[in-house]
Amino acid sequence: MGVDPLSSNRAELKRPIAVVGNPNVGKSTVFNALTGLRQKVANYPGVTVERRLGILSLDHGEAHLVDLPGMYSLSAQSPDEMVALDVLLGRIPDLGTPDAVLIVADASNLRRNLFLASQILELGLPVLVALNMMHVARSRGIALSVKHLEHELQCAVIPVVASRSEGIGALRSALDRTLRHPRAPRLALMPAVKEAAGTLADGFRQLGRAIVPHDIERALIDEGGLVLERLRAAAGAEVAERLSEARAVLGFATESLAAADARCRYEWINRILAQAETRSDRLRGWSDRVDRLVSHPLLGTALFLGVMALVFQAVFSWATPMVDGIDALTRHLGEFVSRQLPEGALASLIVDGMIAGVGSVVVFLPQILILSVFIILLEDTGYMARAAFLMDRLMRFCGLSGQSFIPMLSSFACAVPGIMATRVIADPRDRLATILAAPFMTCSARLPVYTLLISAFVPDKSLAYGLLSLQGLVLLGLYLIGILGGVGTALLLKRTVLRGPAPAFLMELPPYRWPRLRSEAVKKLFAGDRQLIMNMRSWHHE
Amino acid sequence: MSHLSNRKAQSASAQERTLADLKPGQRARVVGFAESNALAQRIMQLGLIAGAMLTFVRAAPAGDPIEINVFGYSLSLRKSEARMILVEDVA
Repeated sequence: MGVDPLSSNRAELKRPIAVVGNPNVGKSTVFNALTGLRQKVANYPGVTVERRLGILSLDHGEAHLVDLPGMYSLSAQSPDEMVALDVLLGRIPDLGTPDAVLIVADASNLRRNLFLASQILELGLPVLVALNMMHVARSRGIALSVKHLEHELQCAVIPVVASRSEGIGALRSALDRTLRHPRAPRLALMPAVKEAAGTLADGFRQLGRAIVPHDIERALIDEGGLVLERLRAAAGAEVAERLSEARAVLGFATESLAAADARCRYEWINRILAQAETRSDRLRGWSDRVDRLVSHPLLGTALFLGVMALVFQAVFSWATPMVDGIDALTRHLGEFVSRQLPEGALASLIVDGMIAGVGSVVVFLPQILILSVFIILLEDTGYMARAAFLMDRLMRFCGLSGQSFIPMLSSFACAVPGIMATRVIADPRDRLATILAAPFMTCSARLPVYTLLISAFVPDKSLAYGLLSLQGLVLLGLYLIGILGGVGTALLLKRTVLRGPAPAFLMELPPYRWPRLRSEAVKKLFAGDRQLIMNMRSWHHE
Repeated sequence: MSHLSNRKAQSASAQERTLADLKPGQRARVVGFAESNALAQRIMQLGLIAGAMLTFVRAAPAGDPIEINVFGYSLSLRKSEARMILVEDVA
């Protein structure tokens, strides 16, 4: 979006407010409610991690918001989490250290959300907490004492329902107050580790190596994490050795440092919530009932196949009247214009060039829109995660996990967002295999070519008493050939160059939600389609 | 890795049970982990620390992966991962 203040260098250098939170807490909804359409999306240098910047208008001026990837912890194990950590520690050159951190937490699932919050509160940055989805918490019989939370977390806590824009005004004024009177909470849940990290940092400095104490803390606690890996690569084995010595000294008798860290943080959280949260035992309600049906071994699988079949039939049949309409419109417009103009170069330019040219691009729009709407609906309702749950076993046959299913499915709309969606895959080998297999999926820009070929070569016949059309079945077959190509590629890669142990499949299954064609959904749709139209235009020119 | 063998010895005496052995609807308490690695750390950070209560909700149609409920949210994991998590039954 060509927003001027965002593209000027002066604005880019302004220190941002970082927006962090677990996945599925409505972080983007809060971000959009605060910034509206004043956003700019790019990538961080060197990695395919989306960088979303927005401008927030406050009483005393403007602030910049940067939306960080959703994460459960600062113990970076994926490139996304590493980028988030780098932003928070001010290591992204053109962003600088954040002025404040806005934590978006799910009020209905505060216990797990407070884990990340406990780590953020220790960074020494001013913090605010937006308690999102208060209405879900209320409907589940959860009552929260904001006052108590503010006291324990040592920062402002603002209840919001971002999807209904409730509490956004209060959040805005709290952000304004925090920026004018910044005050960082003081918290150290693992004081011994913090102290050891400080001592080690001093020691390393004497050796001529400047290492941030927080990195040392992370490297001590996260034995298999990316921070330690990066330190080892940058600072050598000597530093790694010192770290493992320190770890042995700090070690608890019966548990690893990582286990002690998780235990201490949850003990702290449990102590806070014992005071701040009251739960009247109520079921998860309709989401649970829907879940029982959707996850039923037989009904659930039938439903899944039904949904997929519906998507294919919709794209092929529902779009036809619109396609025909657009076709007729461009033809009539062309005829009308050529009647008005004298024959010659100008008429040819307008009729054959402009009208026919634009028409041949616009004619693909209905199919692309229908497919994009379906994919957004699946994401918004929480069905995508269930699809990954259902498909995991199957995806393992081609050496991938259920996590690859979402990028693969998105590749049916367009391989570009599909490949971008592979960043949710934690395992680098799986990610690469998925990236290489995804383009085999039939994207919607390829669909018009299929449609053209099918209507030229396959008779328009009905089968099974008019329920199925032969043309639809042939289209399904073409899709299946693409899928087989992708599966074959993934299998080949995972058996040869990308061979390795099976990656983790830890995934939250978010509660079912009513889909809403919210602003970001619509924006996502149009952002994707703009890209597709650009692609098609270049394809058309070839 | 002395802390690991300790844990293993403790649970082995009381018939070692893992999350993968549970049946739909069963409740259990986390006792510890059979391994100490990045995956175990991530699982603990998601709330499955020693002493945490969980409910085995269901398995996918193919029997794998499985869905569990930990203090009010649903988490899915593979049986191979569930076998890392040592549990004890709760009446």
